[in-house]
Amino acid sequence: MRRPQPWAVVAWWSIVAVFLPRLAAAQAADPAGPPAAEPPPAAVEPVDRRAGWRHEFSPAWHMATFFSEEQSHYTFHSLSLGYLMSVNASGPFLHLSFVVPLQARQDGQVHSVSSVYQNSGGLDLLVGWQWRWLLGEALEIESGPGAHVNALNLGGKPGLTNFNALQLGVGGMSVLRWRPGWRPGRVGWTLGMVTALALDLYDPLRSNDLKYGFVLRLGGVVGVDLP
Amino acid sequence: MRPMLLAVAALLAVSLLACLGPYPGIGERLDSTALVSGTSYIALDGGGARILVLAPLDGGATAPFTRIDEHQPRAVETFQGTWSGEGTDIDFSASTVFILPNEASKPVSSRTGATRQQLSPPRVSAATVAVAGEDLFVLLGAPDVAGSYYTLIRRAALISGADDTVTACAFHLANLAVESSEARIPGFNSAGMTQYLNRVELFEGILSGKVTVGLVGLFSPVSTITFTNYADFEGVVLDGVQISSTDTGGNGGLSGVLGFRIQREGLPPLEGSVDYGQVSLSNGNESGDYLVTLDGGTTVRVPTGRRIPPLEQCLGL
Repeated sequence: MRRPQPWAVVAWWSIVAVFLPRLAAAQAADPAGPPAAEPPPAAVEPVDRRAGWRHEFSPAWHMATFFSEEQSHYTFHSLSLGYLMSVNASGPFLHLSFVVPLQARQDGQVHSVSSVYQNSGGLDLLVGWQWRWLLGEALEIESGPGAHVNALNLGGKPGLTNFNALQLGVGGMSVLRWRPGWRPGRVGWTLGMVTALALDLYDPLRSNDLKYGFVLRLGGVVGVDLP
Repeated sequence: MRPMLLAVAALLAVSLLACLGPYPGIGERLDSTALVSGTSYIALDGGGARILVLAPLDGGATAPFTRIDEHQPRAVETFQGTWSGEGTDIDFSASTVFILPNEASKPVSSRTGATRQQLSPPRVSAATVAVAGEDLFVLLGAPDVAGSYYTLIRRAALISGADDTVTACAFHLANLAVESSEARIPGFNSAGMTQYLNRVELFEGILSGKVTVGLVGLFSPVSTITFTNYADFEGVVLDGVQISSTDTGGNGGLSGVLGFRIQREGLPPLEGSVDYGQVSLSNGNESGDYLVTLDGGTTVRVPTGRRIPPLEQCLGL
């Protein structure tokens, strides 16, 4: 009997590896068809590493700069502590941050927030749809657009006015993640950085005195990814 | 932590219910009134009162002035700045205006309320003194300052006695000072009053004294306005309390008793009080009667709304 050539063996197993899983899948989808043979272990389609949930904590620098219809230019620099969530290779995302204003500027005048306000805080919300892409074995990039809300409330010290705003607009975000192979307790974890930019155009709280404004958030992320 | 939660609750509630007007300045003072001590004059224009307080030049080129324009039924504009004069020509240069607009037709949640604006460049009004008498001077020129001005405390001397008409006249004059104070409280008559939640803020009278404002309760707000020796112009001094208790739509009522002292040239002051207990608020608008009592007199019901009798009759203008 003639012995098969090595190239023929490789070709045969390649064909099996490519078509057998598809054939099995087709038969599984057709209950009337003949029972499928167990695919060889090597033929299992790899799990999409982009699948599942990401829950992350994100400390960041938060800058809101905007112009009023009365021609004033305001800028608030803040520390933000955020919760970031996203689902699957393509799915919804949510960035919710508690904002601690540190410095306020108006038309070139700079104020330390603690010198003129008390009980200051805010919320920044960006919610939308994201897509994830893999960059090699351990890196992932996530990006997508969304709707944006930036709320600020700064209580004036005695004798001074309060400052508050509720700005609405659209924005987008990007997260670059590094996922090391180490999985304690079979839970993956991530490290990375986030950038979010929003354009706000409407403030119902302030008789729409808002002409336009930008919010930029730059920070780090640390979290877990769950299947 | 509790103040922060209250602030967040206030922001959320107000954002759902109301607007607060344009953005304020960073670190802006609530009270930036310039004190002006001088002679007060009154002119009447279409039923509304215009009160002019002129500090003396005392040899200087300029001196402070205040002009309080009251419009019926309830709106006030108060201008502050400096005036200068040479011969019969007078220039008024206003750098600040306090505005309490008439927003009676709007729901409370849509009102702007009292605001303050810096006028840059200053608004200059030029006038000429056409008549200069002991009791009267007449200004011609810019419509916003033109008029026949009478020395207020001299005209107030016409309010004497204790009958119903005199009592109503005394109240109408005292109420000019109440309305003037309201224009200087940012957010007054609007959802902007929420900025006084759980705090008490002080505003100086233009001439003397102070008024404090505080608010408790976000959804059933009770605001307390307390006057202490308060005067924005010569002739009327206020002492007492005015309290409003409403729902978020401005429905409820007033309470409290506010004392007033009307200074009259050549006569002892006329003292009395206003009891607000019979005044109701509907959508932030007053209805009912003020219960006014002059010292030594009986209590008279003075209806809210337009002045009866008119100030022209009260002051003999």
